[in-house]
Amino acid sequence: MWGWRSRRASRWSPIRFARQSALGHRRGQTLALVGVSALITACTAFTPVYDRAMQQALVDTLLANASAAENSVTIKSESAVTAGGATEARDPRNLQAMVPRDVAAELEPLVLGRTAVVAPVAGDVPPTGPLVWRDGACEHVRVLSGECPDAAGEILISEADVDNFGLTIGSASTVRPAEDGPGVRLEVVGTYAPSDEEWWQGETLVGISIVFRGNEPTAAHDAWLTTEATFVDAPILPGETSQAGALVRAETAGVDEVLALGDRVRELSQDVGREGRDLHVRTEFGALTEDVRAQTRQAHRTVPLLMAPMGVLLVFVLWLVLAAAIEQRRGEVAVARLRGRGPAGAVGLLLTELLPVLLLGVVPGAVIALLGGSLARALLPGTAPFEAGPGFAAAVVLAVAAMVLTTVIAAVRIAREPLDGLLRGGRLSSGRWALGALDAFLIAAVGTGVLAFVTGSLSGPFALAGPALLALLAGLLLAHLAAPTASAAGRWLLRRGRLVSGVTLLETGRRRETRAVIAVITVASALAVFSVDALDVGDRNRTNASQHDAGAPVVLSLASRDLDGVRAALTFADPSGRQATPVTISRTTLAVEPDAFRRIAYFPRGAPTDAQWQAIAPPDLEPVALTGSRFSLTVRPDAQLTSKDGLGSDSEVNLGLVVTTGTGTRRTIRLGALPPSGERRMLVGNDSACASGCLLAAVELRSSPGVEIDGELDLGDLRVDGSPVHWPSAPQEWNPTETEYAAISPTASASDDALRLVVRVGGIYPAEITPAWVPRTVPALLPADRRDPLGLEVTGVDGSDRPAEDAGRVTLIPTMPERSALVDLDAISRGAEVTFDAHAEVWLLDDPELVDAVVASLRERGIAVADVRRYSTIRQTHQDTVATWSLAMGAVVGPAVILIALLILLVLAVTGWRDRARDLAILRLNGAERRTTRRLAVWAQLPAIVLAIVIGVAAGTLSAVLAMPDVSFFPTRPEVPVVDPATSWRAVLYVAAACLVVLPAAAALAGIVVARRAHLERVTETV
Amino acid sequence: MRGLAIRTRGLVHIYHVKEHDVAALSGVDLDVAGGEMIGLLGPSGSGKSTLMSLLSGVLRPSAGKVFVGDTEVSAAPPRDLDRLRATEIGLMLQGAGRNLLPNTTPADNVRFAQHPARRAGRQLTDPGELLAEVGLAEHADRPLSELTPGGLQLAAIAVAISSRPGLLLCDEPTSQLDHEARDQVLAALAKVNRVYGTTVVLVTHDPHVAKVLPRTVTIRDGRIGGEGRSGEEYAVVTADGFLPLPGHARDRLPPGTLVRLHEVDDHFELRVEEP
Repeated sequence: MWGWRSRRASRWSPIRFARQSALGHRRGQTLALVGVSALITACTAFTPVYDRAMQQALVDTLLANASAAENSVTIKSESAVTAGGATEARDPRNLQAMVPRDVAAELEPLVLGRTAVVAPVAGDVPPTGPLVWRDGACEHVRVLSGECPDAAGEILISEADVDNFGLTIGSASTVRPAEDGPGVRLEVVGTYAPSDEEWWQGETLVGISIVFRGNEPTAAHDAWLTTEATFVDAPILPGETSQAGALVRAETAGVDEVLALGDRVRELSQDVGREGRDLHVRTEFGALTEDVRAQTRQAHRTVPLLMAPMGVLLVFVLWLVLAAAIEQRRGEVAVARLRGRGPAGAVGLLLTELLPVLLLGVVPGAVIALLGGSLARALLPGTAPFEAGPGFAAAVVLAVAAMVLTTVIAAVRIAREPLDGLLRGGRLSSGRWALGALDAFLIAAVGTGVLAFVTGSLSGPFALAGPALLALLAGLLLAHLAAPTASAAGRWLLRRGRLVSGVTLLETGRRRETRAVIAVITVASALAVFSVDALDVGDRNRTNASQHDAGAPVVLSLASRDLDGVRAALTFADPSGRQATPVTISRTTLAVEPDAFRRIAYFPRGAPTDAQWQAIAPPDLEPVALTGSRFSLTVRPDAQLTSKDGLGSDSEVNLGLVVTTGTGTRRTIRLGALPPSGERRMLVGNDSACASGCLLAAVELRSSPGVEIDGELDLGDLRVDGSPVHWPSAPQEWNPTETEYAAISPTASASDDALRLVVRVGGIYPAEITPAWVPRTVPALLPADRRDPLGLEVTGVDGSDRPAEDAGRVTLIPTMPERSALVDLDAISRGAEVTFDAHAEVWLLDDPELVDAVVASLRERGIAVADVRRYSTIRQTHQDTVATWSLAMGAVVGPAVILIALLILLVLAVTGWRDRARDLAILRLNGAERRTTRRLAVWAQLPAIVLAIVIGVAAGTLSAVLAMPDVSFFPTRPEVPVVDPATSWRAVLYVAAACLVVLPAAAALAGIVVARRAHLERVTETV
Repeated sequence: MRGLAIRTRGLVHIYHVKEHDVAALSGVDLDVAGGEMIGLLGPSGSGKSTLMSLLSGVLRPSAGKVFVGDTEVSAAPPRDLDRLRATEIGLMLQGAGRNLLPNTTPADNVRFAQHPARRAGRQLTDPGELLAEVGLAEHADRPLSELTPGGLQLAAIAVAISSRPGLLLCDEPTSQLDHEARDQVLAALAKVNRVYGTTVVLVTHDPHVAKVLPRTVTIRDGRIGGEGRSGEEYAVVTADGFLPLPGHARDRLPPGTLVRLHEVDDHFELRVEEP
C-alpha cells in the first residue's frame, strides 16, 4: 500500500516554490523589493554616470571657452642673432614632422607659419609690427583690395595701416634685418580684413595699428601678411620664428582623449625641448587638462559624499524591507528547521525567493541610472554624446554585492535563531528603554562621528559625511526613545479616557515597525533638508560671486582717463544719471560716484548704509575756480622768514599754484620767487591750460634740494586776468601739511583777505599746502576683514598712496580683492591728476539700447571701449563648473530621499496590513465602531511620522549650519568672502512642508485601506 | 521501520521569564516502548507541550536526560538534531498551519519535508500516495487555503510522517476540529502507528481522544501525575519514591493531611490519621 515512485516525480522544486510565493501570493512585497533594488542600483550606478556627464560637460565648456593659446598646440623655433653668430629658425615642415602621429590625430590639420617683427627703415615715425606668413593665409582673410601676395616681398596690409600710415597698393618700404646688411623690400599688393579667427590660433592680426604723437612719438602697424619666400629669401629678420601648430579637435575630443592629449603634449614639450634650445612647444593645453583633473577630483569627492548617505539610507531601507519580508516568512523558516533543514537550509529557502526578486530590480535600476545620466548629459552644457563611463559596471556590481550581502545577513539573522524561538514566533516589543547591543554599538559609532563633526575634527570633504552621521544619530536615538515614550503616554491617555489618542500612542509604542519608520523618516528628512539647502546656498553663492566679479550688470572698460569726457558722454546717453556711472580703479581702490553707483552696482553680501555713503563724501566746500591765463598772487614773507641751503647761504624759494584741468591733468602755474623777507610783492604767472577753467589744488613752495625754509608767509589778493578771485583766507579753509620734511600751518593773518602760513620745510621735494576742499585724508569703505596696523592708505587716481580713514565696513567691495577700499570719486580726484595708474570704467544697467547709446556717446568723444564685461556671462561661467553640477545633485537627492521614506511607509503597509487588519477586526469584534477603527488606522503612524519629520528637519538644519562652510561651491577657494553659508530658510521650509504633506498623507491613506479590509472574518485568519 | 522507544530520566525544564524562573517540568521519568501510542494529558500549563519540545530536541532540558531510541536527544549537537528531525522524529505543532509552508499545496509540503531525507538516500513514499493514505488524495495539489481545518491537520500529519520517522509527536492534533475531522485525524494517527509501527505520542485535552488511546500519561505540576491504561487510571510512583494522588483523591486529602501507608497482605492501604 505504501508504494514507491521515481525520485524525479517527487522532487521538491525550490525555484517553483519561490516563483509561486513571489509572484502568486506576495506580489505587493515583490514589487516593493524590486522597487528598492531598482532604487539602490539606480543610485549607485547613477553616480559614475553623472560623474562622467559632468566631466564631458566640463571638457566641452572649457574647450568652447578656451583661448586659442589654451586650445592649440604649436611647436615653435626661434631664430637667434648673437655676437657668436646667427641661427635661423627651422623649416616649419621639420617642426611638423616632430608632432607624433597620435597627437596629430587629436588636432586639426597643422598650419605652418613664420613670423618676424619688422619696421621700415625710413619715415618720421616708422611703425613696428608683425610680418606673418601662414600657409594658406589668403583663404582665411578677406582681401579687401588688390590681390594676395604671391612673390617674395609682397605684403597685404590692414585698412588701419592705410589710414594711419598712408600706405597704398604699390607702396614699398624697406625693413631692417636682424643683422647688419641690406634691408628687405616689402611692397603692398593689397589690403585685408581678418576672418576665421579660429584658424589663426590666437595670432593677433589687427587692432595693433596706432600712432602715438607727442614728445616721444611711437607707432605700430597691424600684421603684414606675406609669402614664405619673403622669409626664405631674406636674411634673418628681427624676432623671426617658424611654427607648426593646430587647434585641438573640439568636436571629437572626449574626456579621455583630452586628458591623454594633455599628457602627450607635456611629453612632447619635454621631447622637443631636448631637440634644441631654439625649440619649444607653445600651449596652455596642459593648464586646461589640469583644470579638468582638478575639478574631476573635486567631483569625485563631492558626488559620492552627496550620494553615499542616500545609498546608505537605501541599504537601511532594504534591510527594513527584508526584515519585514523575512519576518513574514518566520513560519516558513520554522517549518524548514522543523523538517531538519538546519539554519543553512532555512537561509537557502529565503535566498531562493528573495534574491531573484532583488536581482530583478537591478535591470530597471541600471536603466534608470542610464536614463538619468542621459538626461543629465542633455541638461548639462556641451555636445559630447552620452557615455555610461567606466565606473558604471563596477557600480552595478557594487549595488548587487551590497544587496546580496544585506539579504544574506538578514536571512542568516532569522535562520540562526533557536528553533523554539522560531516556533513561538512572538514579536519583540519595541517599547523598551534599554538599548540592545547592536543599537548601542551603532549609536556609539555614529555618535563618535557626530562628535568629530560638531567639534570640527571632520574637515574638508569628509565634513560632508557629517550631515548623514548627524541624521543617523538623531534617527537612531529618536527611534529608540519614541516607542517607550509613546507607550507611556498612551497608557496615561487611556487612564483619562482618551480612547483614540491613547490607543494610537500605545500602538505606536507596540509596533515593531515604529522604530524603522522613525529612523528612516528622520534620516530622510535631514538629508532632504541638507541637500536642498546646499543646492540653494550654492545658487546664492554663485550669484554672490558673479555679482562680485561683474560689479554691475554691464561694465565697459575704457581706454581713456578723461573723466570729464566720460561724464559728458554719460550725461548725454543717460540724462537721468541713474543708469550708468563712471568709476576708476587704482590698484585696489575703487572710486565711485555714490548716488548712481549704489543704484547700479551689486553688493552681494550687504550694501553700505546711508550713513556709510555719507561718510565717504568729500568736504562740502567750494573749490577755488580759476579761469583765465594770467594769474597773480600778492605775497609777503615775514621778516624772519629764512631759506638757507646746506652751507647757510640764502636760497631762492619759488611759489606756484597747483591746478587741475577739466581733462584730469594736474599742472603747476609758476608765479616766481618769493620777495625778500618783509617785502610785499605781487607774483605773476601765465598758463593757457586754464583758459577753459581749472581748480586750485594746492599752493606749492619749491626750492633747491636741501634748502630749509623757516618762517611765516602771507598770501592774498588772488587775481586771474586781473580780476579778483575768492581767496580762502581763513585757516580752517586749508589743510595743514605735516610730513617728515615739511610742516605748513595756516594761521590767522592780520589782513582779512590774506592767509598766513607758518612754514618749516626741508628735504628735496616741493612742499604743498592744499585747500580744505581737497580732503586731507580720504574716507574709505573697507572690507570687513581688512586690517591696517601701520595706518590706512588708499591709492589715488594718480597712483600715489593717500592717507585714508575708515568710514565703515562692508563684506565685499564690488570686483575688488580682499585688501581694497571704496572711495568717493570726487573726493579721491580733487586736486589730483588722473594718470595711467587709474583705470576708468563705466558701470551700467543691462539695457541693450542704453549700452549702445553709452558706447556711441563715448566714441563720439574719442573714448574707446576696450572691453565689455557682463554679469550674465560671468554667471554662466560660474554655473558651468563641476562644483555647481555636483551640488545640483541636491535636486535629485532631496526628492529621492522623500520618495524613499514614502516607499518604506508603503512597504511596511504592504507587508503588515494583514496583522493590522486583524488587530482592527479584533477591536471591532470587541465592540469598537467602524468609525473608531478607521480613525485608529489613520492615526496609527501619524504621531511617529510627524515627530520624525520635525526632528529630521532640525537635524538637517543643524547639519547645514555645521557643514556648509566646508562645501566646495567653486572649483577653487574664492579669494574674497563671497561664500555665505547661512542656512536657506526657504529651502528648509519647502522641504519641511513637502515632508509634512506627503508622508502623513501616505500613511493616512494606507491606514484607510487597512481599515477597509478589517473584516470580522480576519480574526480567524491563520494560513 | 520499528518505532523508537522514549526514555526520560529526572527531566527538569525551567523557563526564565523576566526576573522569575518558572519550572515547567520538575523531574519527569517516562518510558514509552517502541511502536507504542500514548497520549499526554494534563491541564494547561502542566508541561505537556514542554515535554514534547524536549522529546523532539526543540528545547534542551535544564536537567535530566532524554533518549529517543539510542540517541540522547538532550545532549545531541544541533546538526544531529537536524538529522533526527529530518528522518527519525516527526513533530506536529499545535495549529496545522504552523506545520505547513503557506501558499503551496499539500503535495509540495510533503516534497519539501521529504527533501532532506531523500538527499540522505532514503527511499520514500510518493507524496501523492502518502496524502492518499491520510485521505487527502483529491486535495494533494490544491492550495492549502482551500482545505478545511480537518484537511489541514491531515496534511500536517502527512508532512510529519513523510520521512517515515520512528517517532511521531503531535501537539493537540484534534483541537478546534469537529467530531468527524477529529475521528479522521485519530484514525490516520492510529493507522500510522499500526502500519508503520511508528511510536506516536500525542498531547490532548480532549477526554474522548484520551479514551481511545491505549495508554495515557497525565502531567500535573510538571510531574507525571498518573497513567491511564484501557480506561483505568493509575498513580505512578516516581523514581525518587513520590506518589502523586489522583485528582479526585486530592480533593479529599488537602495539603497537610497526615496519612499512613499500611501493607496489608498483597496490597497497600492509605489511611488518614487523625492528629
